[in-house]
Amino acid sequence: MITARSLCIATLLATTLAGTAAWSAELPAPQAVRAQLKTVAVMPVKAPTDVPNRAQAEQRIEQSIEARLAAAGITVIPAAEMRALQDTVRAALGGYYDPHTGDVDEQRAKAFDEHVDSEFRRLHPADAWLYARVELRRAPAYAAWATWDGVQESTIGATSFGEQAFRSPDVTGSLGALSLHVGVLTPTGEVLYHRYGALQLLEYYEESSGASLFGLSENIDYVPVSPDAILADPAREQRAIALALDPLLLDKTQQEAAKESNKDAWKQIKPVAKGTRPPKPADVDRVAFLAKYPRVTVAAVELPELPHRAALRDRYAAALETGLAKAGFVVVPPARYAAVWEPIYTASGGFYDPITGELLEEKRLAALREAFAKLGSESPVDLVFVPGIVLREARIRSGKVKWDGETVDLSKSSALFDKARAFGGTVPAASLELRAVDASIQEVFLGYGGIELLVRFKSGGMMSRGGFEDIPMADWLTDPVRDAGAVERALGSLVAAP
Amino acid sequence: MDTGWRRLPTFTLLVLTAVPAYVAVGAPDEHDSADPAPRKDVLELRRDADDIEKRIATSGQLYGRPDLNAYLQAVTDRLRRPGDGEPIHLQAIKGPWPNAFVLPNGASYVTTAMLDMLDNEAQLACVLGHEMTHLVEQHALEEMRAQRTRTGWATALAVLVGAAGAYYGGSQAGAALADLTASAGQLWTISAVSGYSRDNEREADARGFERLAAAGYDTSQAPIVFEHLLAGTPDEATGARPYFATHPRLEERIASYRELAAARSADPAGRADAERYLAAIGELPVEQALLLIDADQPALAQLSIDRYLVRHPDSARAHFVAGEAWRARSGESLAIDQAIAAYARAIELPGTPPAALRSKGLLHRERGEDALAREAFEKYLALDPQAVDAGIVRLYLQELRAAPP
Repeated sequence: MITARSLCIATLLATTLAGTAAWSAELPAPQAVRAQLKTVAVMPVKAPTDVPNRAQAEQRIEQSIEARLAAAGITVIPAAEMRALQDTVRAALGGYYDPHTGDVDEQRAKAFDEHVDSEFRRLHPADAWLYARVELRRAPAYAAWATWDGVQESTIGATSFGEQAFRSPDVTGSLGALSLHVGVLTPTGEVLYHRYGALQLLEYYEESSGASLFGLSENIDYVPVSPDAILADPAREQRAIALALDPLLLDKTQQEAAKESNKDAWKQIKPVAKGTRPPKPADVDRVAFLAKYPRVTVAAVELPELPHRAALRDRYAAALETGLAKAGFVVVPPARYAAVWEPIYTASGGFYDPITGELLEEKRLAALREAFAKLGSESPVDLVFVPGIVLREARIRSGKVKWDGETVDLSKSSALFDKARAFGGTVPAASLELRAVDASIQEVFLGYGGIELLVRFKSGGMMSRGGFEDIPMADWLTDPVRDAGAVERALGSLVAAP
Repeated sequence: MDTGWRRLPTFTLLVLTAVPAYVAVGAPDEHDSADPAPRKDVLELRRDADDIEKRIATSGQLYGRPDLNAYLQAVTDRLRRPGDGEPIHLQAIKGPWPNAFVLPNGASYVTTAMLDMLDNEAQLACVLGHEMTHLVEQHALEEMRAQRTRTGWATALAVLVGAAGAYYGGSQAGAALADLTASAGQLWTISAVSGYSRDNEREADARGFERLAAAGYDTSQAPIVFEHLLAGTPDEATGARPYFATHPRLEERIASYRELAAARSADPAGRADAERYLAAIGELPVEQALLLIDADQPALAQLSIDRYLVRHPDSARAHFVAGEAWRARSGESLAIDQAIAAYARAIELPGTPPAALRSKGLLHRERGEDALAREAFEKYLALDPQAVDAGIVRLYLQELRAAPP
């Protein structure tokens, strides 16, 4: 589940882009950096935690980078050294994640960084430290081509010229992608070099149905790549490493030669296999569900750190209580559940591992089990609904943004040349996530109800294509009118027919 | 955590919001090229100002010291004159560059860097009187109309965003600051970056100066503010380039203030109120230095803390922060020696932060000075046995004690 942490970080990160644009101009020339690199310490490679087979991919990339550095005549301190030191310091520190929220404890994290850096400098003198990380990117995707970080790939995963030429949609937008980000820093933290190398797209535009009116596409959809095809192609990894590292390790002539020799190999790289769109969750049989779980209660909603957090929690508690009652459930007041849950939660010391930051699901389930047992004697319930406000990616389709049952029309008029209709891609949105757990601690229901977009569309003037701007956090989730709608959408088929 | 990554640019999933936004500001808005109805743009300006104020309030950038804000407000109120209209609400805001700006709704901000730079209340009053004039004379509205008919504002916005991002090196603080520019950028740009037109700046200088004199302040302090701005740009030391200090009009403004001050040289001397000012800002320079270290600007931090140490040579905390600034410059020759010396001084004084001992111990350990490292770590644990990193330091001590002398 994407929690409060994700929402806050996402907002901050969204704004970092423009602020970092001037970086490369201030860095020394790669060849000047290369000249001072005799010994380089490679840091452990990191990939997003939800990448399948992440560990293997990280290891492959790490080894390839180490081999490439060694081939360039650089003495390499392998990533294994830093990994071992990090493990020792992390254990001695007792981790740096808050067990209650899973968030990074800044004070501990700072201490971790200071000790690790200091010890590594002491134990492994090096001219520079090389970091490499697989990062999520948005690849600008216009019509047939997505172009990012040194490569251009088909926006529809086309495998033939004909398909590429005639089936690509005329859409301006962006597609999710992965890139390898390599950075070289001095041991005291001064950035010497950094560069991205494209790895792969994570999604494609769905082939156009052909319904295109004056260049304004209709019926654009998206299909994810197959999970098995994420970070599964060593040739793509080699290409990304070359794109990110060659400008540092090779001089101009060598780069030209490498480009020439790579040309054929890179041409052989095929589009990543398409996956299937996630199936819509099957509708729940309302009558049977109500018969099986007539008495329910609601846990406190998990929220991002917003200025009006307390009021929002109360609002959603009330909206959920009303919505569930309207759906036909007997609702034990959330306050009653909170009175039982809070002491259990406090005694648990939190559900997150302070070392890894991961949710300790077993611990959480044990606490839920205890809560059911305690409720049992006085206010028995069959289900606990556990709500949370989560960040979702809302798809733009033909001028409308649709996610989790909610639709926002970007256009303000029915004008033929409506700029909003020329946008594709995704924008961030907030949704209500609603899980229900029964007395055997099985999750028996999961629903999402769209609340609102976290950006707003500005059409601009005649000469502007328009675009999106962030909505400040203080303005998020401030409209109580949306609460009931979000609850209804999240409950889906559990809501009684009008 | 990966320390290094904090210093690298971060482009992530939500870049998607920034890409279309770039498109949005990429071209001048021709649709609005005709002079809009006054009522509409006044409302628009007010809305933008409210938006920026809200963003600032939730950005985590407010300095948040009520006593200091009360003092700043009192100085502001002293400068007010009958018929000024919209009252100013002044707050201190964390910022790397000396700056002050007022929004058309009266919300007004002065950066911690500006407060750190000034010597006395008269200089502060000069800055505030200048900004107050911009508000009273509705310069923002005038500029907005002029900007719309002349050029797009993307360039000016890019200057601010670029400066903020480069300065903060992609830190969360930088992101939050950059966020302030993500929307309502035109107003912010006018208020905080591009300055106003030459005529409007001149008017603000002259009328601000009148306010300064009328409130009984020492008017000879006025040009000093801008001389500080010009002289206080440590380009060589930091590579940093604050916008105002490179502004081509700055020298003109010094000349203009000198003329104004000369014309009043026969007047009885006003008050500068240095002591009251320095008492009001208190430890702000120390906190500013810490902020600058976090923002990867240790050389600027050094300048800030050195100024403070001249006035407070017995502040253990300030010596510790000086050590931290030197430690952050450890790539430079002798920086480690300087850091150790600063920590040593901090340790001699009452009220030393335990972290001074920890930092000193780490530096000695890195240099293989085991006995000194051991001594520092032992004192650190004695002073703060519950420190978050006590477990690691105990490991070091085990190792150091086991090592042959």
